[in-house]
Amino acid sequence: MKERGIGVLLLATALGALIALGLITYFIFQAGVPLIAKVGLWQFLSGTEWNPTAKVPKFGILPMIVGSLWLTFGSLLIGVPLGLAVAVFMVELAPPRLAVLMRPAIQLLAGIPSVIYGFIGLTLLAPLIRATLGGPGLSVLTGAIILGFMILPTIIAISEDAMRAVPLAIREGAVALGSSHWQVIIGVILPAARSGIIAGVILGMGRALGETMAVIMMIGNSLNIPVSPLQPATTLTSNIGLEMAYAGGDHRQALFGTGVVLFIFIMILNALATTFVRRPATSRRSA
Amino acid sequence: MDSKIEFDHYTLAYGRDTVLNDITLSVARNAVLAVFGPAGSGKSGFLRSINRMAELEPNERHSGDIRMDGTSLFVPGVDLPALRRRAAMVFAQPVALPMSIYDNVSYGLRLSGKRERRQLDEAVERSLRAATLWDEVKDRLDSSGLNLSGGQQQRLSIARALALGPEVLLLDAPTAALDPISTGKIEDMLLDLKANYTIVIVPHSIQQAARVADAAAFFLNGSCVEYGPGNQLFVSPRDTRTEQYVTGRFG
Repeated sequence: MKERGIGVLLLATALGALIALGLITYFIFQAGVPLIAKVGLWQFLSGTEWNPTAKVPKFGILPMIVGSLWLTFGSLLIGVPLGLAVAVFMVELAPPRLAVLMRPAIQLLAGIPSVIYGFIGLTLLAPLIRATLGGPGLSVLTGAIILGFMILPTIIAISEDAMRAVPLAIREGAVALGSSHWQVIIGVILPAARSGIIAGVILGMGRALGETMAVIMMIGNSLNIPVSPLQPATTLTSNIGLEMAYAGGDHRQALFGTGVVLFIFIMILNALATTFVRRPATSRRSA
Repeated sequence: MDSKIEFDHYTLAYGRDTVLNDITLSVARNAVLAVFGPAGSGKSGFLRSINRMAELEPNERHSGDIRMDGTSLFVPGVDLPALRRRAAMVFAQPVALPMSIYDNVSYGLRLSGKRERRQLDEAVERSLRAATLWDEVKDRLDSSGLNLSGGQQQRLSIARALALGPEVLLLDAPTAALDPISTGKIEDMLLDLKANYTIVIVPHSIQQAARVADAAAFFLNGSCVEYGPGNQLFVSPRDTRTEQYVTGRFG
């Protein structure tokens, strides 16, 4: 009887999570879709002007989509090489004791509140970029660099697991054929861990796309479409974060519409990540 | 006796586990040495010490010496990839890489930086012939190695090892995953190969050891219990433990 009770309890919790997800989805779409329909989907996505409080309000979110893409890919440019390098170091080069120390340190990186990251970007990196590269300092570049560090824990943890999961037999086979350590890493370990690494990158991408607080603090929140990484921009998330507090009516609905777009982006990324995680790294192996 | 490899009071441990305990024996040039014994007796550790792959294990420690052609394997600055080409290893599980037969065989050569097509062509044909696979695959070198049968894949693995131009072949139960006919082919091949190579094999049965070995060493719990010519060791072992193992009373 007790077993059964625990089972029911767990089922209820699991259902609770599913119901919460369902409700969130429903409310975002219910609140956002009517305005998208009114403006027209294409107008909404490709409009370059966002002026929700004007007499003739404009609801074009292209500047935010572009800003989000700039920032997301910029952060990947920083985070992926760095994260992969750290993961390779931890799996292949670090003495086991050092790797054991590094792992919690990197997890701690994930535990730092994003507002702190934003604070560091705002007070340390932005003035530095303003002084060395020019521009206002608060820019796509500043955001991308800090975001690149924020997504490191995700990329490192998942790539590290994937590399450790490469069967010993594959590694030994390569060593026995006279591969140097680098040839093993580049020719065998990375290709065999490829799907896991890609999954890590996609999850990091989702985190970069969804980050709000730090982005608001660093990116300058300009509604112009940035044409250089030194220019300020705005993103889907930062715009929602900044304007939701005072928005009403159509404006509020338009922000929910922005949320719908973001939601769909994230869903696509998660679906991609799941596909890559599920596909085992067997493509280079044979029985 | 002209020896190719000499173990000199060699002791190997992984962490707290002693794998090999004070081994002193020599492997004759152009002969087959069979190293046999129950699971955990140190056979693989012995094999992996010769190409220094034992060092991949965490917390590996060793003492004593191993010499090949009179030179210690442990002198500072030894080129490990080069050592592993000199003493090429074949594993129990055939490994066909997901690439053409040609690329499979030439893989190790390309790793070492050889790119010249004529050299590769020549090495591929020579190795496949030596591994008695040439006649079966010569018309389809471009097809995937994955399409070969298990026995063919193992001969492909041996060809890949031979392509490295080794002096020593280290075979870790190379027929463990194969049927009797493929096993027979590989055993026949070994007898041909010893004209040019020194072979150390961990056989997958005592019968196999008796069929292929010029010399044999019986290992138990990391120690070499008995070492001698194959016909003596299998027919009239001196140590009672060897006799009991050979006649199937334990192990």
